[in-house]
Amino acid sequence: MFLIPTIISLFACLLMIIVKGRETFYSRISLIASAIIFLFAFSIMPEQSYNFLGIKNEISLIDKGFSVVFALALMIGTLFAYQDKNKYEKMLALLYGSSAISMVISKDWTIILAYWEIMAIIAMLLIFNKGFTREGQIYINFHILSGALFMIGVVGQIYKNVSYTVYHVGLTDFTEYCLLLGILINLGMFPFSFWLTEGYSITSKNTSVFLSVFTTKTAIYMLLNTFTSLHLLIIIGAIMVVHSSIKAVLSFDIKKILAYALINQLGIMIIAIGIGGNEIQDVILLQVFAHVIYKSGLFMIAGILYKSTNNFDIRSFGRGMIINFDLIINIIIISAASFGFLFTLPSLGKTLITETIELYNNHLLTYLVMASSVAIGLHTGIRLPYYIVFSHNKRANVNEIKTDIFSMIALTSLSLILIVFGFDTSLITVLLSLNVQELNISQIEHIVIVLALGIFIFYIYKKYFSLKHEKSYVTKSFAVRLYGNIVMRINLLFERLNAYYVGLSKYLYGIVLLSSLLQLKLAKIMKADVAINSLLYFSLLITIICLTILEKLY
Amino acid sequence: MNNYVLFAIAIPALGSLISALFSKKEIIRDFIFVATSIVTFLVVCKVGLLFSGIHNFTLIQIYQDLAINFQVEYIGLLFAFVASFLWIPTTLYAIGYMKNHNEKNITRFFVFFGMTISATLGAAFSGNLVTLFMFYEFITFLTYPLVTHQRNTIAIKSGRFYIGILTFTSVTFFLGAILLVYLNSGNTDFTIGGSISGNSTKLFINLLTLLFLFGIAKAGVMPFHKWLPRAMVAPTPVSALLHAVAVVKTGVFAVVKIFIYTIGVNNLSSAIFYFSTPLGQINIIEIIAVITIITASAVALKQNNIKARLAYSTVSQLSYIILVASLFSQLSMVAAGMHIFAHAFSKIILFFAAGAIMVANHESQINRLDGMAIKMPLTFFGVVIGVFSIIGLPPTIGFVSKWYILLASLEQGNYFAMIVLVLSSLLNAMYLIPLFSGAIFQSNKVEPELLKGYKEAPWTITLPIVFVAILCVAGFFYGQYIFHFLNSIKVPKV
Repeated sequence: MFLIPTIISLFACLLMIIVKGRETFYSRISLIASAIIFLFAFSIMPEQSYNFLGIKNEISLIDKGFSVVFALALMIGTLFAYQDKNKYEKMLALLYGSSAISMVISKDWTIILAYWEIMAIIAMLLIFNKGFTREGQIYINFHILSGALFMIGVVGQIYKNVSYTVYHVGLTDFTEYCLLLGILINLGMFPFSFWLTEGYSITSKNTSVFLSVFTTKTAIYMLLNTFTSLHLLIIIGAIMVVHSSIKAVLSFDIKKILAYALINQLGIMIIAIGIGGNEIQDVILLQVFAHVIYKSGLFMIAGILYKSTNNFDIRSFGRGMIINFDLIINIIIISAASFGFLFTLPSLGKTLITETIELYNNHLLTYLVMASSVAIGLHTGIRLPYYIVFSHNKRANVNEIKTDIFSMIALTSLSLILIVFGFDTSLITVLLSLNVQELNISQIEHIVIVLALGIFIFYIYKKYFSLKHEKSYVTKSFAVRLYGNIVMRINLLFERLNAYYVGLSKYLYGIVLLSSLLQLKLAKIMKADVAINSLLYFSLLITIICLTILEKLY
Repeated sequence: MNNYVLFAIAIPALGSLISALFSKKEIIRDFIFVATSIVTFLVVCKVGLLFSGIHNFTLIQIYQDLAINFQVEYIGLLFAFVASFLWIPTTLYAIGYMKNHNEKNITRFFVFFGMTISATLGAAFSGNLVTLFMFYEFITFLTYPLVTHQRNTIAIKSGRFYIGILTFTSVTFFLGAILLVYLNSGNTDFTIGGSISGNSTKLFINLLTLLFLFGIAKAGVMPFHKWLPRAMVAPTPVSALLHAVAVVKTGVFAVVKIFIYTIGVNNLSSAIFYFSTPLGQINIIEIIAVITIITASAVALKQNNIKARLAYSTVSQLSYIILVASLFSQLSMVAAGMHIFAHAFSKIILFFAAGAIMVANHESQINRLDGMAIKMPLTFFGVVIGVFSIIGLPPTIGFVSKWYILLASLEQGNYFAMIVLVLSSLLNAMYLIPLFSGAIFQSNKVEPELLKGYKEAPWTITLPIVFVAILCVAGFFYGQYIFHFLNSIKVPKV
């Protein structure tokens, strides 16, 4: 059963190798194959069981949900790449996506291990597809490390339980630590995150869309199935959130911003998995669904811009470019959705995940997640559309952003999914067999807090960083002008921040130190878990110190 | 059965000597040579079919205690099977290589080649330490003309180094160890559970183990590993079969066999010096193996010559076998046998490919392979499979053997070995992936004129590559059968 997606894609690849046709022929085959895979994933009956080598496997709701999300992303990604002439890339992407789906619906350690390694190989080939680079070598090195550690974990599990079925794993002996480390390397854990940011930043237009979806999300799936409610994960996730927020806010390379934002989201998911709870699987599935949709949209936008400008620096984009109106709409919708704008799909997931974290009753953690949502709002929600659409940039020398109809269809369908599913939650039940109504979503509270914080920050910036010399841009609509104004000011702040970063980081120690002392006191009052709190602070502190040192060296 | 064993040992030497009679008629000579390899393999298969448990017999009784004995047992049979089977593609490959590379004295080359295979099979079926030592020395001396085949200064110097280090270690340490065993137990036979007497002191067993480990320099344990990179001056078929499969595997096979049948796994695990650490008990053999693995991998990173890099990779991989054998359990010996099998199949592809690149495009430097895969798809298909197998990625046989090595170290609670394996996988990826990454993905950065000049190797060379590569993939799906075969060794439980 789990082999069906792989067989479909292998068959499509064989067809693409054997039959010689025009380029659109290959695109059609890959699109049809991905559609078939989607239909297959959609038609899986949850709680359906099948026999493999005498072992009875059962597909749970979550497995089905993940496979549908992957299949949807694969289909839209293939549609996005329709006009592209690279046949090899299409084949690899198809294999990549289908092996992720196969992995998710197989509940067998050895098969998961095999797919884990195969996915690493295919991802390496996808990155190398553009030419042999240092980044690709780094990517495969880390994945081989992760694969070997994962293999130790799998061997340990099979040896210990004499069973091949995946289920919850504790953290008791060496092999289980290896398993955890292997999964976390695939998730871009703090010191090992550069394979992700470096690898994704050099890939081609379509490849980064596929890469952003499958590898890390399968790792999230594994983590969800094995290490739920492991408190160590909270600390690891918090470090990832802090590190990636700072790096994303300070970066100007569009793909690096997106990659760090990806790590940020993964960090939040890891925190939620570490906290655990009854509904954690549904929450994570919803969050993964939302994240896959908007993140692939953002990577598509980055790819489109790069194709026309040959540049990743967001400062070089701007109003000197001629952008299609549909593209502008898509950019605004997707980037607004990316920080959980009201009544979009991500707002559901984000609210739920924030609630999970709030329920843990650790204030610093709550603030941290809140701050990171604000940071996401700043760097992808506001900065990206500002620089691409509104900024008055005289240096922008490329005039036209070329798009083709298929990539626009793909992007628009993503925007539609983000909006429609946000409004009508019953559709999620249809697609993912996930009952959202039962999940008690109170969106308003979260959004109000984020908005209030955003307005507060904006107020401070307006007061202390008011800029008079950049008033001259002309836009007709008042609303757009207002939005542009807000966005521009915030961005100028970040340009300054970037310049003063080394100085600033000294104050960051102070802030973290103070807040940690405060928090310890609070924790005593609230009778929270002091050990975890203090560990969290110290690790955050160390992270920031490391970051500063690294930054200085750099 | 006795006759078949003797046939298996005699046929390669006889066949190659007969083919020497037809040195003027190339077609007949080549035909005899291919036929000999196939017949040898069939005879080894026949031995395998007749095999139903460990079987000993004596060929010549020299003195009362000194005899030429033969023994058919599990690891030896597997080793004989691998060596004789891989000899068939190598023969085809060698014919293609020697002709297209304009080598001289092809007949002499083939004769010594066949005789070395005879000696290897003799070592595989040897029944006591004296016989093993005899065939071990035969291999050393018979490969000398192959290493110095090109007769230039470098070849002769390297050959001198090669024979010097191998005979020095074997005569001083290996022979000494054999004498110690003889003085201790009164015979040198291979018996399961160990032939040395039960009341030997711990120091004696440790000394004996180290003497064997360093004496069998063909196993490539540091510091006596240098001969292997130096031997790479030989023509590529020699490097492929002898210095990746037959010769070096004779070394590790001898070490594993001595562990099981002379010293005894039970004696070793109770007597060997070890340190207790949180990561498990680390014994001295393991430390030597780990040093070799990591150092050789690090040196391999620096090599730019394909064959030199592969040679250091071989040194590192051989110590995998020593490492897993040094865990001293049933599963660890089986895993060692599995890795002998897996590494032979994967490394021979890479050497074949190195030779193919040399023959077709006269290139031996790794940084100059860019864009070559466009013109040599079959060769680089083999390279990709071989590299994946050595790193231990699915779907190749290397994955299976890595699995059993991990399982064996887990069973012994030896986490140190696991960490080393992870590190080594990483290093393997770092130095082996450049073998194909530039060639496959860098074609757009090469000048078109240069790219046009490249061509694929002739079919006699590419056919063996593809054949062994397919088997390497098949091993992933059928590796468990080898495991079950080897698992019948039944090392006494500790």
